[in-house]
Amino acid sequence: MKGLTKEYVLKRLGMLILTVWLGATIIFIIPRLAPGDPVEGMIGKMAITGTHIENSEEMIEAWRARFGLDKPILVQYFRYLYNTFTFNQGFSLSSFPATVDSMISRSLPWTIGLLTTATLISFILGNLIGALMAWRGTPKLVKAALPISLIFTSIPAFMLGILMIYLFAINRDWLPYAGGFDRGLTVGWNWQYISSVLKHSVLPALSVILVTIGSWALRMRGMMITTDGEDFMILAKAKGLSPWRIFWAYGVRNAILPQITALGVTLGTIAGGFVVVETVFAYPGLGYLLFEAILNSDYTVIQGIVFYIIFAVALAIFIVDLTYPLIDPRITYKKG
Amino acid sequence: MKKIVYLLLGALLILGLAACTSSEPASETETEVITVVETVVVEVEAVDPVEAERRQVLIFDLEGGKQGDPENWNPYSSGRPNVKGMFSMSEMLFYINMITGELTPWLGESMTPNADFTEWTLVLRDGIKWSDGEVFDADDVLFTVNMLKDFPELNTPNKFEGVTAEKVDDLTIKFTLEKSDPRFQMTYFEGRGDTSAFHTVPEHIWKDYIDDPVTFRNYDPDLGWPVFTGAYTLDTFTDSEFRFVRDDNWWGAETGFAPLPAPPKLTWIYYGTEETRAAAMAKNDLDTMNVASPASFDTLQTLNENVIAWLPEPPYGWTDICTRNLEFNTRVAPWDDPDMRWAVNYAIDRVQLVDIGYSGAASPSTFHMPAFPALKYYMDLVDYSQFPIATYDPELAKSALENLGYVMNEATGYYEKDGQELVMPIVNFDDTIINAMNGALVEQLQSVGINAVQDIQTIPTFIDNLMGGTLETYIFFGSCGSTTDPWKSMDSYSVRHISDDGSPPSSFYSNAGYWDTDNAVEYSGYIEEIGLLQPGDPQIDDLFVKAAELWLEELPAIPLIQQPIVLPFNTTYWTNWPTAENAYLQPDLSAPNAYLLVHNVQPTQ
Repeated sequence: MKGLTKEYVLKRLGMLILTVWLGATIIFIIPRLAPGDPVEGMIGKMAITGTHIENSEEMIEAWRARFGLDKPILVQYFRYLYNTFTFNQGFSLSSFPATVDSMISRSLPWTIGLLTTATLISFILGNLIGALMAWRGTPKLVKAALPISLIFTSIPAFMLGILMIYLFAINRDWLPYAGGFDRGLTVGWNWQYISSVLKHSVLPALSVILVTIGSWALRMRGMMITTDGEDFMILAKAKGLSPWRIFWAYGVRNAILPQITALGVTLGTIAGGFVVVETVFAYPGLGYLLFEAILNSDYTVIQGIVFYIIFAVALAIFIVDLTYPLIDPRITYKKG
Repeated sequence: MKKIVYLLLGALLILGLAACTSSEPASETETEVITVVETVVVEVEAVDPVEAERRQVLIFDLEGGKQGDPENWNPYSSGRPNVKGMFSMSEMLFYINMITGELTPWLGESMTPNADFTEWTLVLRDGIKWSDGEVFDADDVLFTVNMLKDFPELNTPNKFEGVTAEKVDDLTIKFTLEKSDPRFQMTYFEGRGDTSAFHTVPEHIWKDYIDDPVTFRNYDPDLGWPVFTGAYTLDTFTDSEFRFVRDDNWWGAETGFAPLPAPPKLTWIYYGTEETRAAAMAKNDLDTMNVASPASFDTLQTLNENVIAWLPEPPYGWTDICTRNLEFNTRVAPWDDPDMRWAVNYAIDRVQLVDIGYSGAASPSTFHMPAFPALKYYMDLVDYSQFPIATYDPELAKSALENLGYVMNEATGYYEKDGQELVMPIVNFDDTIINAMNGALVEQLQSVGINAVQDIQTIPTFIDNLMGGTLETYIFFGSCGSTTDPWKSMDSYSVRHISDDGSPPSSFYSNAGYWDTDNAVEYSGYIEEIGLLQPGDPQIDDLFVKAAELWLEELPAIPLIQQPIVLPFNTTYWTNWPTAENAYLQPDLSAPNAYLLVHNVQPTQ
């Protein structure tokens, strides 16, 4: 591939595996450093919803054996590594006998659908606004209007979410206030369901877009100002190229490189969901699942989600690294 | 470049104008047309299919939010499948009314003990069928009992230890107990609690999974699973919505035992935070809501005048089964001294705690049991003049501390003894109401010179610390359990729960404060005697008073609040909800007897 070498790709692949292994090891160690025992916590939660558990010791031992917690720590570690790298995260502690993977796979499409779309819209609009704010050719009226789009940046997403629920769902019955789709619908590829899903995603997506758009815009504005002073921009203007071409092909194309790296990382973290937004809107995504898992001390689900975040971020950075030479011809990993 | 930007702005302007045109005023002719159209719309609304569909469904609030494993319908799973409507499918042998103590035989017809309560004979009702048409009989009950005995991981506190069950005939089972137990039926078969309920499972299905019933999820739509005996069967579900349909071939209606319940469909749905759930109820998208704070309930009633609760006035709700207490680890100094605990008691203004934590909608508690009618009878037998537990007197608290050798350090404003400041870390698990109440409690204790500090912990951390014995003082409800008979709550403080080897108590309802003084031993003797008497036996009265006096003398826990449970009911589509005037059921839908609710509610039209 253009600009890439086999050695570089293998080296980056090695780094990817090393990063994921280190991450997986850390998330194995951390819960074991915390006080308390997940199985005892699980029995405790059973007791808080019921009455006296007379044989809790016997119950705890049986559960420890089922989760492999009765084995030496090294055996637990290697078993965990094998399961993790074969994408088998085991059973949930709070929703046994559900597997962590089944819980994640049910929530992941909602999060990816909502947050990928919202992040890409935010990325595109934010960068466009940032670039136009910095560009000398932008009409003054537009320049004055653009910062208005940034006023929501300083508002926490959950506050904006609550405000929008009040304005558009409770005060005015325009959009639904909670959930992923309307009550009573049959889940499937039918228009009624799809339109309901889209309708339910408007407010959560809007709260993510409005909150994140400003940071993309401000970063892009800074980079466009820097790019505008480059020699190649002066040369392009001297050559008499059209402002449209200079803006896109010379300005935006060069300024956007660091933004693409940031986009890669942001898309990777999507695996963790937008916890607060999903909680406020009772949206059935991964963020809500992570929130519930933390509240319930469901270590296996927390480990599973965190592992996938680490994996997704490492993979996204790996892919961005490999695509750099394609975006910017000046970048090459070939020697000489 | 400018042209393109202006072009985009122009397009936006045109779109905006297009949107505005719809709000322009109509001409006279248009008004007439609109009037005709409105008339038609009103007529159409009368048979609006959405409204008609809504009237078919009784909608519950899904407790605990989105379900981690929606396909799990194993009632003994650790994942708590019971919250998502299990009680509409799985019927109990008997149902208890926790207010009146009245027992309604359901799958079971009768249960009778022998003279010394070592043998109990259960007779099942004839003509019961599972939802797949198979006959329900003694083999199913026997199979379930043996399964619970054999698999300790199954999520139920009732493991039938020391109990042997044998089939007498198709409708009769005899239970032989190693030890006399007058409360055997009460403990096992009356469906008092969510996880303590006895769900009979169909042997003809479960026998194929008896190698590992812990991982069996009891779900296969192709085979019509889950199979139970109830008047409703599972329809469809997602992880935040569970729908059930009425089984018009339900055995109860066929045998003439009971008519079919009125709601054709039941739904459990999750709408998010308390605010959005309240909004859902205000918009009639919910018929019941799990629990509302008194403040939320007030708002809810102003938004939807059809919303009611157990009581029409504050505290609106029914008293929770668990009183809120300030509990102590009685092995840790200085809280190992009963006089210290009494000094703290005098510093507590319970009325202020009610005002701050519950907006005035609760009542102070002077004993560790809920003030249900049957339990209040026992609590009223005690002569409290010897134990002025309701007395709030900061000066008395101070003099009690000074009598114990504490001296006020005027510089710090706190009492000290042997150079050590009197510090009192009061832990509570994270809960909006308890957080507020503990905050007020800390201020009250600070004002008498005790350096009290609030420590809010997550539920799992709190449980870990409580069970590990690392909490000194904490707000909790370690005496939960009694509803009609005092034994369960009183037994929470028995020394029998404390093991000699120093291992932690089996649960936090089992003397987690390690009260093991001479008084406690004597107290436990009386409780053991009560345990050998049948609930309601007049001999219990005297034993209760003796035990209660020993408990009050040392006060191993300070009762604080009788917590109200405010459960809003929406009368827009369904009526005959349980209220104080129509008390066919306690307004707490977490217990399996909430099944009686669906058999009692009626449509408004």
